[in-house]
Amino acid sequence: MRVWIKESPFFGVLRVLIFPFIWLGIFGHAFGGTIDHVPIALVVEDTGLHANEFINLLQSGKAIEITANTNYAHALNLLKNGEVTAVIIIPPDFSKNLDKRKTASIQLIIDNTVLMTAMTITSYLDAVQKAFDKQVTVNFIIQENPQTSASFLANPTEIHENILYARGIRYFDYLAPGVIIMCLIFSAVFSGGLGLVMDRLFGTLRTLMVAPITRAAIILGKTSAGVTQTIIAGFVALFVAILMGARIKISLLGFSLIFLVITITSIAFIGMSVAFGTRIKEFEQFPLVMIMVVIPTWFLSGALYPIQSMPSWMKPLAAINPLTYSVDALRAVILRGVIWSALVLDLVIISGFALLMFIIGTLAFKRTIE
Amino acid sequence: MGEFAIETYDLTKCFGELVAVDHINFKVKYGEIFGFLGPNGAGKTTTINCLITLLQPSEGTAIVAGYDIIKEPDAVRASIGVIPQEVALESRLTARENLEFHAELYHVPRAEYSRLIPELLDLVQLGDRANDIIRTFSSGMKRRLEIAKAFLHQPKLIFMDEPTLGLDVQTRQVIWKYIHSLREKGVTIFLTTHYMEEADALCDRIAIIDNGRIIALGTSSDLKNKIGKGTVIDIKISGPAEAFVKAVKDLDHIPIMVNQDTIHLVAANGEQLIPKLIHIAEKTGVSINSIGMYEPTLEDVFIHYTGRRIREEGPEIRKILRR
Repeated sequence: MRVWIKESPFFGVLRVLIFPFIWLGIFGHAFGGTIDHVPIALVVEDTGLHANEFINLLQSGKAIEITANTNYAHALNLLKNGEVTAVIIIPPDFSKNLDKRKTASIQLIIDNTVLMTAMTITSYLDAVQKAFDKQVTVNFIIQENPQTSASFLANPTEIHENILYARGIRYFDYLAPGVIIMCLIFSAVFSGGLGLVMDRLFGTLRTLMVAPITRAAIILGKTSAGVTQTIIAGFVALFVAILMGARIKISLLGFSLIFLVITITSIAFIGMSVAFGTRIKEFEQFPLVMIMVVIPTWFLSGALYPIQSMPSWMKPLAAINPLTYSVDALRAVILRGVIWSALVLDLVIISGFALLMFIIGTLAFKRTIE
Repeated sequence: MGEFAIETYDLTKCFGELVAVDHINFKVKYGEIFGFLGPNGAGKTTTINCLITLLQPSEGTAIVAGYDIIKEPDAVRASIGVIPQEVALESRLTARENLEFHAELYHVPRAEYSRLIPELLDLVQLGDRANDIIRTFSSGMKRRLEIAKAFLHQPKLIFMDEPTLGLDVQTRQVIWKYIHSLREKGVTIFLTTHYMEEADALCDRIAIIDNGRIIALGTSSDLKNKIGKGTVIDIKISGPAEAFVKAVKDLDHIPIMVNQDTIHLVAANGEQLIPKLIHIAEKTGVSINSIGMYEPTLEDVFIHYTGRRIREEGPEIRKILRR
């Protein structure tokens, strides 16, 4: 059986067939899709009729999803932690102003970090506003004689937009953290496990295996060697991004956090690569397997395009992808600055993944040469 | 510390259907050089890999340096030195760095290894190349460095898998000298080889292994005496060999082996046999091209037990004694 697998062209053909399926499946859907169900927080300080009408309109489309209907302070906190992308506030005098035929205002506080998502919200809100204005105007015309002032009819409502994070962001700035992560993981997957595979090929691994040291020490050694290279690769990518004009919030604490995210991500993906390296005995197989793992991982991480644009079957894959949290954390530090509460979950998940990979690598590494 | 550095108890290793090592039992005393001699594929490397804990035996066990290889592999690893068949040096580091790395692996204190490394490098005549990158070394130099490496943590027992495989005669002799110097320092050495002259030159005792089994064990002279005191005669002939061979077989019931045009036999009274052989040749109409007479080698021992040469592929360099 094993001989057949090795000799048969079947697996070569399968590989050649599977690649386009995976690539097209992922690339074709990972970006360019419609962004919908963007989480927003709604603060309603007005119980009037018009406010209700506006909210109904707001909920009619699927571009946004009101995940919290709360007070101002809490909503702002959600925005700060990255749990919602925007806060829409309907102030107390909204209905009253409209009834007095005065222009009523709506407040939008938005986080521009994920540029495309933010744009979706603003354009959706624009559309809702237009629809609402039209409805209000028509109602008023039916209700009474068109003696109201023309200026009011042109503008029953206005939106006050307040960009809390990443004002003036471009796609380039959005992409930069994702690309830094890409440089990092590509360095990681080849510098970790490949060393193990090469050592097995050249016989130096035998020397390590007969030495009176623990398996964990061998795995830890391979991991730390790879992590050193990978951190350097990550920082080179960061400085190239800065040189090319990417926006980065610079502070000492910010840099320390960038270092932390880069380090934990390196450990995690080196760990993954080493775990693969313990079991892949063939030198030629290793790069192939790593490419098959790492490219989908990167495309599914939201590095290039927001996860909200992915089809619904792909979103869970992005959610269980540890790289998603690395990209999210790095982007948050670089574009939003140091907000601990927004980073903790990301850091815990990547660290957990790093630890898991180290354990798997250590357990998978057999002390024998069979 | 017991009397034996290595004791095996029905050590067996199977790879699927193939029995690579088949219920091997032997004991190696402290302080001796013990050799495993056998052709390629006989099970030598598999045995070593079991003893150095890189392979789990399928059956049986062994006690190495006082520790069970199955139950206490870590203790075994800490007490032995291994010189692998293939050179396993970090090619991008210098000779000194390789030794330092190895010393750290074996928890040798820095003060001790910084004293030992120059000494060992001098011993293997690499003192002047200490700071050169391994990539620039010849294979003989690399092999010498491997030997220095195995001695760095001063194990009482060193395993060497084909220590001179593929090396030229001069380098091989240099390495033999080092192995002897290790023995003088009280190190026990277990080595495998398929060079019978290497086993002869180095080993205090030799186990001849074929198809995973030990077929003979003893000192070199014990083994040679086992095939009968006497001399080995090689006759090259041309003509109708069959009749000649049959006549020789009838002559004295001597075990003989025919390899193309060479007839190989061991006889207790070689000097008296030669005139008879010439006589038979005349009678059967073969012409003798040459007659060689020499003392038996380990190769002849191997032939005696298996009917084959250790290395079928090429002739061995033999020391032919002309009388």
